[in-house]
Amino acid sequence: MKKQTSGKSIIIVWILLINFLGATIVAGFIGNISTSYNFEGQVVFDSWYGTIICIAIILVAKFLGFFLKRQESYYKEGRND
Amino acid sequence: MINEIIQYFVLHNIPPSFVMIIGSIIIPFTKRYFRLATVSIISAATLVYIWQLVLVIEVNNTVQVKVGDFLLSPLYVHPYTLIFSTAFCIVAFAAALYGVAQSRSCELVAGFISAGSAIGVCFSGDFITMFLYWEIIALASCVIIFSSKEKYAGKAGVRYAIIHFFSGVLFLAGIVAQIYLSGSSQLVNLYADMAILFPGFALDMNGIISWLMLLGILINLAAPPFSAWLPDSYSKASPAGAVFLSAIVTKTSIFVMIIVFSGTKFLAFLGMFMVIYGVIYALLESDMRRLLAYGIISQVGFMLVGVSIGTDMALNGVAVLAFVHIIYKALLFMCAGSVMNVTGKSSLAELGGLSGAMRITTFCAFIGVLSMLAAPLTASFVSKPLIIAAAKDEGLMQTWFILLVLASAMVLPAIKFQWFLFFNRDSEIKVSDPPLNMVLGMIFLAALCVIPAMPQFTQFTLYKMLPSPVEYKAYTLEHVITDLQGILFSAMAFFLLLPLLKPSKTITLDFDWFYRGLARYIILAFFKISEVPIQFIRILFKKLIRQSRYVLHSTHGPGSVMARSWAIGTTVMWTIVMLGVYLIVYYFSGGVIFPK
Repeated sequence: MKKQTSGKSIIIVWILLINFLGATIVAGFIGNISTSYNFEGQVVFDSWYGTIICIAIILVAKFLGFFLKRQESYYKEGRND
Repeated sequence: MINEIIQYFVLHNIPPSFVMIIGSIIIPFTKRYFRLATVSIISAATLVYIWQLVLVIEVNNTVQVKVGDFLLSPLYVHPYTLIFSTAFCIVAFAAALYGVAQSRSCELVAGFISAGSAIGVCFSGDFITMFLYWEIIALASCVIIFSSKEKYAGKAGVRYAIIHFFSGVLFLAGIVAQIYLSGSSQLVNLYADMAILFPGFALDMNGIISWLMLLGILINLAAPPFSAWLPDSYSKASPAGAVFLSAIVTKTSIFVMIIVFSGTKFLAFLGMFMVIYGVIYALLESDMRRLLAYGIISQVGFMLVGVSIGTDMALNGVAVLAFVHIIYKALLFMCAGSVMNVTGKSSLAELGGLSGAMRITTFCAFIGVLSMLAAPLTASFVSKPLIIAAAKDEGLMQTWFILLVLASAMVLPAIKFQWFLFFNRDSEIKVSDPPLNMVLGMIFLAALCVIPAMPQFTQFTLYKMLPSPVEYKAYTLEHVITDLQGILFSAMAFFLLLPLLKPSKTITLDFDWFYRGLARYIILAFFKISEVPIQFIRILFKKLIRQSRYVLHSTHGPGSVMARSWAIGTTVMWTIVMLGVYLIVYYFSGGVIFPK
């Protein structure tokens, strides 16, 4: 079984992400993308709002995790009371 | 001969659900080697019969049967009957193929009964028939959970049963009221008006009926706060059992929502909340199957928004998305089940780096995840945008924008599942791909995630099963580019904040804390508090008993006054005294001691 290190995988992922992102942004400029709403006409609109929303959700999830996370044995399913 | 059999069934109005339900009874009596052939024949026969039946009975037409005072419609073809029943058939076969060698026969039987009943709901034209199938699904799902060998599956099954029978009671109450008021059990479109919640409006009986039914269906849909049963039970089922459960219960509820509550506006808000709730909890989860379960809640919320829009395009989008979701979610549960099967673990904190050892599983999971992302060339790419486009067409600008935002957010759980399970750190667990039947099941569904989504096939596969032609063109340059940008930038956000998302060996409290945690504490507190008066009464009672014993002992015990031997003279004297007293009282009362 080939060993994979987390760091190596992440580097590969970032390289792929940046390349594909760049390609889609260039394609977006070259392609004739029509919009119905003014704000959508901003540069790579779909890109930045998606990133911001996802970052916000991750931070909210992390914050809620402080209150909601418990040990695996919290409900103590093994006992009979 | 097959044609003759089908014609016989059609002529005698036998519901397709009977084919699957009765066929499933054969499964326990077949040898394990022939079980695959048996399930294949049952599924194929049901599917062929469904398609033949829909050709014979037109949409919105019914076959009615009089039972007592009621007119039942066990064979009604709704506009979306074909697409939903086809999906249930396909996933029943796939789940049976996946679990044919590992699952208990009772689990396979329960799975087929569940799928057959879901098909029965799709063909129901009246509330009574629908409710009967609805309860059979609940029972069969309980059997699936109880059949599991997972730890604490029994307790999860009990919780599942309580919640679903409660939802059944609500649904039944609404149905009974509806039949009583309208005099008919035929399915009608209802509208749950928010007005009933606000003071100043008259308490409308129609409103109460709508709300009772809606609550019953929403519980089955895992709408918060009644959502915790889904991750609780799906994570305790066996690998094949989870596949059955993931496809049947919630999607049947979506079908009923389309029929009964399409156009109910407030469902949009609930749906949006479900999407966010599902995404956040999926990000908090460490158990891979619980993560997928919260993903179901998220996707169902998206469908609910489409139901609330209620236009043909929106409902078409909901139906196709439900079909696609059944397929890819079953695939993802298969992949998770395969990992569990070979590693014995389900926590992402203990797994990772399995892509090298489980190449086929990784590839199939990747296809499933791409479907979940609605990437181009996957089935979701041609389904989810229909709902978004429907909002835009209706001029619902806020809804449209929120749906775009939610579609971006739904990327996160998918990437988390794929990354932490198959990549990330190497968990150094020596494994290989699962047994052949599991691999075949995964490959079958992976193919279905991709082939119907090919531009040249979509109109002849997915869209063909819809009641009205779909004008929407998914494969435009604009859509492909914006879709890819949305996915890739959301993925960028995920990897930017990767350290915050590392799974830990913890659980996340959900709404089930109220009955698994708070209620238990309240009951324990009640017993502790009630011990005080009980102890007091116990001590008091002991004292009373002790005192009584002392008094009795001192008066009647050995050596006491009453137990002593008296002299004969003393005894005679006291006897004479008592007789004398009696005579005097008798004399002065006129001879009457006790008046009549």
